[in-house]
Amino acid sequence: MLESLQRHDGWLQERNPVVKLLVLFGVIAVMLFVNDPWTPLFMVGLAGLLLRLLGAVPFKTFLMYLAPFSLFALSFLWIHTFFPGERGETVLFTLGPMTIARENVMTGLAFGMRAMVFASWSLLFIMTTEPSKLMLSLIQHLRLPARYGYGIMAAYRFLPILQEELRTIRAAHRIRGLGESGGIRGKWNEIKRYAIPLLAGAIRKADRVAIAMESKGFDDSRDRVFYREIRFTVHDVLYGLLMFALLAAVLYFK
Amino acid sequence: MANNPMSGHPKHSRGQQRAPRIGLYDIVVMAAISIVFGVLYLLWIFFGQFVQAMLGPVAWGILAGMWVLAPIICAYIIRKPGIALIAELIAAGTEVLAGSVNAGVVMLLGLTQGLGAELAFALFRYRNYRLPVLMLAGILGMFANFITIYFVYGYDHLSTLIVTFQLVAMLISGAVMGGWGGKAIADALGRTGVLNRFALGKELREESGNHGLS
Amino acid sequence: MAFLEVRDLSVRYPGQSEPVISGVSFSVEIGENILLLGPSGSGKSTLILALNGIIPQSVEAEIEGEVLLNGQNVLDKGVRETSREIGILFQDPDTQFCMLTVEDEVAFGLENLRLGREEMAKRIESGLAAVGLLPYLERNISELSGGLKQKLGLACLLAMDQPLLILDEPTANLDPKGAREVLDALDALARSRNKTLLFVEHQLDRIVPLIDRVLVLNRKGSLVYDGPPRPLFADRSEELVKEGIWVPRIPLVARQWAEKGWRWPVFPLTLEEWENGQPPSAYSPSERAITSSEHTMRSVEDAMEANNENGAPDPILEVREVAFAYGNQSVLKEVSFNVYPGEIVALLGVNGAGKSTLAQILMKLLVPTKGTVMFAGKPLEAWSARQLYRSAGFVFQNPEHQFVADTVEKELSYGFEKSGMARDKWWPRVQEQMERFGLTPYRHHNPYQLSQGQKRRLSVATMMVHDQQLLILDEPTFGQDLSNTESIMHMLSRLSGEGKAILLITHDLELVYAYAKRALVLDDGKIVFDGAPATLFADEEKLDRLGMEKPLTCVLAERVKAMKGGRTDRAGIVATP
Repeated sequence: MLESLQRHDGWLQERNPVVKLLVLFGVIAVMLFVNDPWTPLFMVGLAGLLLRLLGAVPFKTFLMYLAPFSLFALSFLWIHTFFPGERGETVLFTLGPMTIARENVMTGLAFGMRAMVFASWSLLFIMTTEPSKLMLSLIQHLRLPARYGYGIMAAYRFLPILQEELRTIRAAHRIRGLGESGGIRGKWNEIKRYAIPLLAGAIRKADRVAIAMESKGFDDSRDRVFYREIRFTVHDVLYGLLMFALLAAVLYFK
Repeated sequence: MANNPMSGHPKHSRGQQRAPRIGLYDIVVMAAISIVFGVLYLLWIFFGQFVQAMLGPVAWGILAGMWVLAPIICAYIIRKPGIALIAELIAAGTEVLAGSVNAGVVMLLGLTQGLGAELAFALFRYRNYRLPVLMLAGILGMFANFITIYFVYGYDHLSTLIVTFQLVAMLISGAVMGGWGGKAIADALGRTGVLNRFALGKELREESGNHGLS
Repeated sequence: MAFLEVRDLSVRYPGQSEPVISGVSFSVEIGENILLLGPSGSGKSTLILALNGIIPQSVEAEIEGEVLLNGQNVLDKGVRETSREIGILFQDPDTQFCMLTVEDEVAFGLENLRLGREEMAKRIESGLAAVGLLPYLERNISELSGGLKQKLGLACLLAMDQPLLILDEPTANLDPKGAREVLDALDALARSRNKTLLFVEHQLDRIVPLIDRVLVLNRKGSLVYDGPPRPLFADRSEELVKEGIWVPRIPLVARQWAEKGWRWPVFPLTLEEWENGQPPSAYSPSERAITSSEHTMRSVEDAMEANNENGAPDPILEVREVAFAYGNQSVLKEVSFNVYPGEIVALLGVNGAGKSTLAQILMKLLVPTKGTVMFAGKPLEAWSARQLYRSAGFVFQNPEHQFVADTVEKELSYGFEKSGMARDKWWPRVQEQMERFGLTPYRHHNPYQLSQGQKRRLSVATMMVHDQQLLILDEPTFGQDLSNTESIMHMLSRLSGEGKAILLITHDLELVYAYAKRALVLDDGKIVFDGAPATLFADEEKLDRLGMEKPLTCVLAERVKAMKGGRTDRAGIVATP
């Protein structure tokens, strides 16, 4: 699902990953200064719209990815409502001994929405950026040493294999008479029990893949010729400038 | 030599300790360890949601130590300067590759939390990897995490009592789950023999050698 | 000057008292096809990594002696330079790539060679075309089957165009279909004589006709043979078997028939050569399988008779019209069969036929959407998990996935300790199990530190600790060397002799032919065959349709029969321990 989105031939997908990454950090930085719920709402909408128009990501998909995260965002609403640092004056209603103030609800909303902004712009990034393009771009444009980029990619390939192994290990342990357990201690013991075979396997795999990479002549030197060059075009400059202008405007008008 | 330590100087690599450069093998192993914990976090998160529903935000703090587990384990196993920070960045990076919905904040936390944990090892000049240092790394990592979310999610608007409780819960969790738990997992892993070529593996081998075991 | 020269090479890993390989010397000329043999643990992989200098430059080890490539020490050249001359195809298809797509992966090696972009594009195309993978150019590596992954690995090397290619058990992790695909590609490569090839492989019947020279390492890592294949397999096959080394089947069987007076113009290594054989004049068709000093041979009929003597007891496992679907994707449509005490039943089927789904249903890890499974006369629903797993065992493919303790002894005590039984009640049982499975000397070892064969024995022992009556095993011999395979099968035969029912999921038809009383074939969610393996292998049409290859020993038995032309002597000539 994610992969077909990333591989789609859209304008956002074409953009340089480093530029998109900088925009993401820009958004996070600017939002730290915004304390109303409306600006974030605008930013979430903007991310959805950009994804729809320039990345061919349907609204439905966008919202589907955002939905589980909204639970986390919602938790800010009630935490700020029930445990404010300073109780607001405009009392909406009382709940037993607690008074619920409008100001606190608004603060909760504001921070909940802020979290949603982080998520929606993260989505804009991950839905339009292929992992290998990101790594190549970091190596080519941010001078990340090649061994980091390729090394992380190599291990990233283990993800589905390790997920499958975890399923097998859980079944194997169940047959040995070990169920899933409750409580923090029980849960911790269970995780530790799964961690050992997973880690042992993963470390052996890591060694093997590093050997395979070296045996193909991989080293870290800078004179590498890249088969896929991640380009940095006028469009990228344009996208970066526009986004940062927008962020400046948000800061100014907040 | 810093640029190309692997260029055939047999004398250099025979028997002697490798330079504390973080090489391809270290990187792939750190990334693989991070991915294992990424896979395991999923079990943890479902459990976490349950706990959070029962006990609220403080409970989240109790479970938070899980997030510094990978860098502490990596630092304890590999024992080179910079490992805790880099492992935490790699962990964040793998989460981004895997498509984390909160990629931006995850990267930010990776940086600050990694710096926190790294500080503990730096304070002991990368010579001490005993339990108290690992626990300190867990505490500092969690403290850095706390500072980050304090600003990112506006904790200054929250009741000081709740925030303090959460901080204390996080620090305890960092020490116990991150430091103590990380050591327990890494030691058990060391006994399987897969860490033989790492600093921890060598240490364990020497210990068992002294006890006359094979 | 030889292309590659190994001079008195010894390698010792830190923390080990004995070297893995010691005093190995040989040389390789351009254009040779060489086979490297040795039991597991004989240092084959170590030797390979020492050839390109990864040992000791990246993998720490103490080495003595030297490796010269075109007269220059590989340690002076460095790994990057050496990799221009030596390419390695590794065993595990999942751990030799670092990129996500086929195209990027081939490009990775070419980038390391610092080629220009146009040259790279050209070589990517020719490399992939050489193994027939061009249509997969833009595909994700993770979507490829194991066989295709290994072909991609080969394409990467062909694109890099190193003169010496080392093939380190490239088919060991593949199912028969994948192995066949890879062997076909290697066969073509070897016949083209464009490369120097060093094979490490145990699918020898395909490889041996291509080989000019064989190198044999023994358990201690010393080179004990360096010469042409024919005299080795003609004269020293038993010796190799004793070392735990796989040998090609044809010369092995031919030796035994030669003792009976059969003669060949050249001692046969291939089926074609075998067919030139002449039977002795006094050949008697009723003659049974032959017993040589190292091999007991047995016929399938023997097995059938032996089992018939037991009569027909009640089935331990009854599977009745079981169906299963993930969502609306149907995996099992209608599966019915029985398993009886004391028999070894093989469950066959291509990857994706639903074997592991079925196994999980039998172990109550999945619930069938339709149908019932009866175990020991009681439907599975009526068994509590705890009871069930004390009465039936399941051995997973990777033994490590089942380990939960720090030592062998604790691993075997684990279930008892959890049950809260008094220690003196179960302690003798633990000791007895360790003794039975040959694990007593390793009681304090960490399970992960055991050898492959010991790990397998431990995983079976933990599953039999409660005297379970049914044992299901998923590919227990996968990737094992000859002696491990033999000892596993020996152990299973013994258990079945004690009346345990064994359900064996496997791809290895030779094993099925040698050991199974019955074969079940799962295809497209249904059992399409349930009967004696010999009957299955006699039906060539069916085998073809199922994509299975008749076991060579079975072919040989039939050839013998045909050559005699006389009354059937359906001697399944099978080497068993």
